[in-house]
Amino acid sequence: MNPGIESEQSILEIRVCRGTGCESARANQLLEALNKEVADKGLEDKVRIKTIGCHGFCEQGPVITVEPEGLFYCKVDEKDIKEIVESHIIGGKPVERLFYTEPATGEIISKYEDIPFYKGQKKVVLRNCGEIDPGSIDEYIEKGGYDGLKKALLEMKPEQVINQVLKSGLRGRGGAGFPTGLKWKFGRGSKSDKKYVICNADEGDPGAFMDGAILVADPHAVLEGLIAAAYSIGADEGFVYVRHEYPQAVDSIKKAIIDSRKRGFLGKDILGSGFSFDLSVKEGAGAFVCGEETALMTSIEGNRGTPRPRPPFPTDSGLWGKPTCINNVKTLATIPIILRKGAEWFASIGTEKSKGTAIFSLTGKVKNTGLVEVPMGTTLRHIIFNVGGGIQGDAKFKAVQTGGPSGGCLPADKLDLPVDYDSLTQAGTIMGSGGMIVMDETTCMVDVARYFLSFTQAESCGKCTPCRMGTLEMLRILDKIKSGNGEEGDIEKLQEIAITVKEGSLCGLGQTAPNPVLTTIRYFRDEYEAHIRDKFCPAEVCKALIKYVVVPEKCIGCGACLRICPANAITGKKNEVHVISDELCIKCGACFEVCPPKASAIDKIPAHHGGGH
Amino acid sequence: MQDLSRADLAEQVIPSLQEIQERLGYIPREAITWLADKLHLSEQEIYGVASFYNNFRFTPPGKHHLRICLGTACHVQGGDRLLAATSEKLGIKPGDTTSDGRYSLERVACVGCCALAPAVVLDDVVHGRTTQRSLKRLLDSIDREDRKAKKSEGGSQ
Amino acid sequence: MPSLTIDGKRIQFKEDGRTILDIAREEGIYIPTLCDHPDLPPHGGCRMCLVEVEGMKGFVTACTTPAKDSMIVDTTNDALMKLKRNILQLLLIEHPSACVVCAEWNTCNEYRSQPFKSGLITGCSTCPSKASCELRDVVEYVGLDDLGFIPRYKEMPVEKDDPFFDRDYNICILCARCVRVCDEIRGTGAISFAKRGHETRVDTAFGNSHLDSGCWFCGACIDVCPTGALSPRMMKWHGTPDETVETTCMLCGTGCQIEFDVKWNKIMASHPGSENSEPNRGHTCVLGRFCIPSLMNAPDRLKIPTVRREGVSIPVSWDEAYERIAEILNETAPERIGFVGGPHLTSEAAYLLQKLARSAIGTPNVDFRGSGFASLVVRTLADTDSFAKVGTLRDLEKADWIIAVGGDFAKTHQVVAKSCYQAVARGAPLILIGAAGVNLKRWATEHITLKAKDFSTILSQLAEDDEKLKGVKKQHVEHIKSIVSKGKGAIVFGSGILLARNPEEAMTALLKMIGDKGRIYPTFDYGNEVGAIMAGLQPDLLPGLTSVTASSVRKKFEALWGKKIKAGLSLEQMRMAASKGELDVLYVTDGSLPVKGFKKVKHVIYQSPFPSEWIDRASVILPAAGFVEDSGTVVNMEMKQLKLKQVTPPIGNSKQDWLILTELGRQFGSEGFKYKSPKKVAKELREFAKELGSGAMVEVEPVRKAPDWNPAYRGAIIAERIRDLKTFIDALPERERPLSTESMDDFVKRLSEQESADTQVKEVA
Repeated sequence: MNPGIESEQSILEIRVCRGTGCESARANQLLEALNKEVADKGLEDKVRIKTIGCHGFCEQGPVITVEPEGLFYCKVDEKDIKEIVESHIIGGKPVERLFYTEPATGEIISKYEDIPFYKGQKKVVLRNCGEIDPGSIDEYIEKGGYDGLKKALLEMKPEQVINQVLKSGLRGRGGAGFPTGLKWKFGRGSKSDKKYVICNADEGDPGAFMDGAILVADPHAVLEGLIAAAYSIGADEGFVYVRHEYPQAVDSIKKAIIDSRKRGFLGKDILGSGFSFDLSVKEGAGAFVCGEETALMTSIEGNRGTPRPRPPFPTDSGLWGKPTCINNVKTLATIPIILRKGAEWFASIGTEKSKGTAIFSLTGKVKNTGLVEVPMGTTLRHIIFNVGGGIQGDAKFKAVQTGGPSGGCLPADKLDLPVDYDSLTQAGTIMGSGGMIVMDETTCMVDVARYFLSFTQAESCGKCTPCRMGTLEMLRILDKIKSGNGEEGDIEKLQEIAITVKEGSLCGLGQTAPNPVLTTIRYFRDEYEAHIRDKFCPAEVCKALIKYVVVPEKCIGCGACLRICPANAITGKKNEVHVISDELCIKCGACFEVCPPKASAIDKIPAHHGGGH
Repeated sequence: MQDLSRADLAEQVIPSLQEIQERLGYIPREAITWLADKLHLSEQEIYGVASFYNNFRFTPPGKHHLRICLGTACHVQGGDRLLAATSEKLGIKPGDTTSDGRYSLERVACVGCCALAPAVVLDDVVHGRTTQRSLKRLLDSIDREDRKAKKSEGGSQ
Repeated sequence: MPSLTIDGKRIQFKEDGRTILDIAREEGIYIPTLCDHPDLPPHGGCRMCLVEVEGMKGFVTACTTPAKDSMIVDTTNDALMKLKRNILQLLLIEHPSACVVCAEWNTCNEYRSQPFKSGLITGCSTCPSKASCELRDVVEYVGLDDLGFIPRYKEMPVEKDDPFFDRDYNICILCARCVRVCDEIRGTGAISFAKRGHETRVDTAFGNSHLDSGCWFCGACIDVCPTGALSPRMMKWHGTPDETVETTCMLCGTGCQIEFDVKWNKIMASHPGSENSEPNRGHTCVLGRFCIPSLMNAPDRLKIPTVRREGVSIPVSWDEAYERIAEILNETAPERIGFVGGPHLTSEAAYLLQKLARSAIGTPNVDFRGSGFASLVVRTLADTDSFAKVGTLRDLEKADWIIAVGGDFAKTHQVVAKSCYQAVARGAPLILIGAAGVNLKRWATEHITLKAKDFSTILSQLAEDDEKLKGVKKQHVEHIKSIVSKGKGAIVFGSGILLARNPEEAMTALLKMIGDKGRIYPTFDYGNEVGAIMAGLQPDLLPGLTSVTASSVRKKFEALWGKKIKAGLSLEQMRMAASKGELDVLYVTDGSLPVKGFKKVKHVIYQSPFPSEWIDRASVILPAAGFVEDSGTVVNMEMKQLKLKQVTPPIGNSKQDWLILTELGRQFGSEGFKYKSPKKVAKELREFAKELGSGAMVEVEPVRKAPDWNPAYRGAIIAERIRDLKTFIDALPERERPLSTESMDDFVKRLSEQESADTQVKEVA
């Protein structure tokens, strides 16, 4: 690892991660404390404190790294700051107890590059995440940023840029995997007095945060890609459409635009190339469907964000009827490195049909949650078990969900599936924008299917009949099954509606909405049947099919459950056995969670099993 | 705004609504009328847009705005159970505000804190790895602070 | 020539952006649709027009996919039909469905032609759309015989609080036709989709009433609704009509083609005429859409001729009435007789009225009560030979820029406003001069808020390309001038220009400004003002717009009619004469004419379909037919002659005006009244019109007060007869609040202060 700009040996660089994960673990207080401590001790010229975007290993947040050694402190608390400063900075002795411990082996690892979570990855798009201060355009340039753009603008014709992107084999990272170069070619080919480019950062997938993280951690990479796109198709105006729910990302990209404009990468006659381009930020207002490109454009125009049928495609008639090229954040962030290192280099990564790397936000019941980048073609097993470190509590792996509400759930026997567009599609799910949620035996697949469907149902724009009515009717059937009222034939009915919605819907939202249901039926049909025939939820999740009871012989009468119960459903005197009222219980599971582990007196049992054990 | 074209005016609808909500916490009826005048649109056109998007609300939010994330990661990690318990505790459904105007409860699709699921956002501060207990503590501490603040306010008057 | 194949049929076509659906329709190939409507931009929501195109992924909607050369399109394969059946099943979960899958439908339809008058629609027999349900057509085509799902009706109350139409959103299928027509075609935006997903509904802002939402009750939404969700309250219960007839509406000068449902020899309902019928092309206004049947079927219509004997009106035969009229007229010196026509007479009736006066009776005193506006326009046009500068509404839609002055057309001429909006929606800038209503203000690029008296000033300044424009800030002057300097302009103007300091100057200026490329669009307030003037129903004009002072033409008329012709008294002059007791007989065909000033007249002959204050003093009352019972021609604002087609027989014993006047002419033994039909009259009138003389300019008296919009027809004040119209008109002033000038900062500040004050009050309480 190279040290920062001021490469004097004596200077340490302390990098504090301010990704959303670390931030939620009080990283900002940490930073304050660190600044204060360093100031108090008068160490300003010995250390350089810098904030970075998501470092990736959110699970271990808040994360601090110390460069140039590449030391990695995890789960740092405000109270640890003093020790870090005194022992490490002043004393030169790193604080070992804050190093990462590999749970499998118990080994203490000091440098992050040695941690399996990082070792198993290949950072191409996330190259700068956690490396540079996202607020500093200089650091980005230092790392070779805007070199690719300079090359493109000053040495290449737009067609050459497009050819290079075509040759790289880059496919859209927003989900559908359409070749990016081809999209640009179409955009270039459209004749018009005005063209637009748009960066789609309306990452609405629940369970995915990569786009937001990249915008926070490396906004200039996205800008560079977008400017190159604009140059290629001949657009002079652009938009970045960001979710309003990502305030950090909004601030980050806005600042980047201002800095970039100051340096002449945006505006009139960029870098003296004669090419002019400028862009502005549009904040989404909370509609998942606006991630669909035509809906996104309708939204920018100030309307209800409903999609419009294609053709005409946006590259022919998009924003305000003008040719428009829309690319996802990750796609755009990949462009600079392709321009810099060449199409061949990029194409050497990945598989035959899916080039480059895939980025996932690895979450759910996996040990190492965080932002992960691996070459295309890496197996699910590698991602979940090597990078992700396996299942929490070493429980049994049950399924992995990719592609968010548009994707599907894959079971254990698909773990050796290489992750690329085509394999995933074949297995019934999609690459999607990159959410990867790992599930263990405590996850009910009917519940997961219902969860996704309730999401798409609520996010359906209502314009076309199959999506509006079909998702609702499917949801009703799933609710019926979950509540123990399922009947024979329900599964078939679900499948029938699913096909109708898939084939009949207007936009990508509807066309993919049934995927979670279809894949769970395909791979976990027995679980549906258990719900329908035996009124039994194997994962003990579906509320109507379970109940919470106090095991009298285990209850120590501590009253923890009684205090937490929001429904006042628990009664019992101190030190006596407590009782849960079936009538009042809302099955929120709060009692189950707070019951002291040494007692673990609350049990979840199938609802029709009667009162006790 | 007279010199702008009709398309330019329409483009202002969502940013204007966002700004109004930013400042007032919600979109009052009057704001729709005002905006319709400014942007040369009918009230219906503005309302149709505003009611399409989740972020716009037409009633004032509570003093404390509690959003429980129900993204996939949070759902798998028990976010829905947190919501059920909180909803029961506050006695309101998601989307509503308590009658004393102190809390409004909302479910959100994803706040991008998936790695530390389940996440809860209280007054714009994200709290990761929330448990039933930690959430209860969080709300209790807010209650305490509010009581204290009220007392000192009462004392000063 | 490019060609494509639809269902095996090879079709040659021109590649001009038309969709597969367009081509299929032209070729008579049926592709089911629910959300598509020929008038509206494609939507792509209902998914009923899905087709399979070789080489394209999945299924595509025919309504949005442009036809391309060598496409192979399949509209009916099994997979498609199955998909459509499934989608329809989903759609019918919430829609009353007995009507669409009932096996008895055909027989039932035959024997129960009339729906029950039920408030709640649960099936076919209670649906106002039974006969014309497009959903049913589609279901029938796709062949659905099983619902597939448990119905879940929405059970929302039917919305009946607003005037004219009921809204039952239980049977709404969210096709967006109403929203699109209101927003994109009429430019009103009175309704919109609210919320989204399954919660989506057609609504107003915050569920306001339509009276508050800016609705003009033009009924366009009802006309495009494919189901019975929107229905005209008074016109939905008569079942299948015996026949439908299209004719010209005479309630204003637009000349809309309206289609009437006829049953039991009465008009039961009115709709806009066909999309191909000019000038309105399938659109109408609140009057044309909702008011005509109630007006024409009014119980107090005059049905029998009466003659006043010893102070009492006694029903008599037509002949007795004519005799009495002859008696009255014969005993009076011709110059003490006045004939007052009306702007709602057909051109033929207007011609006959003046002919009766001038030839049979020999009085020069003929006039009618119009707006004065038509007189100014027609005379100026005749004087400057500029009739070619008057545009059609179709031209208006293609204008490059528009100036609107002297009226709120969105209110008074809703169909003109629609054409105006079509141009605006296409990007034509609208410059609004003077006060106007909310729609025009919303559409305007520039609004020059001038007092009406300055209209002539600013129009002259524009015509003369002056450096300055009255009441316009400097930076806007450039903008306005740059707008009007390019392309084909349109000046839409109304009777409000009579309020100008110098109306003639205003009129001349706008003709000059519009030049040769542009067109003018005068919006006349009444049905046939222009036709009446052209027919010679003016004291100083002969038929064909010739001045009575033009001796060569006058002599021809004198020879033909055998009477000396001279300039007569104008309406105002007749009033003066009457008040001085110098006028003994007044022949009135317009009940809207105020009696004031005519009280000393000895005999009044009143000819009208409607009673008015005149009947109390009429010596003879002649019941005339309403315009739907009449035939003939009228001249509309486009200066086009439009046909009036008789829809129903005249009510009771009433007769058409032309017939009454013909018979009366014969009563006087005049040779010139041998017409068998209005066509013969029209022919005679046309002969004269060929020899257009030079119009005599009369000085138009400036008007001081803008007239209220209070539509009337021959003495019938429509709002007094139709309660819904009154409710609507009464609610209009509410809309005319001035535009807000507050900045966002001020606005937000005011609201937050207001709110904190509110909470303090609450806390105290």
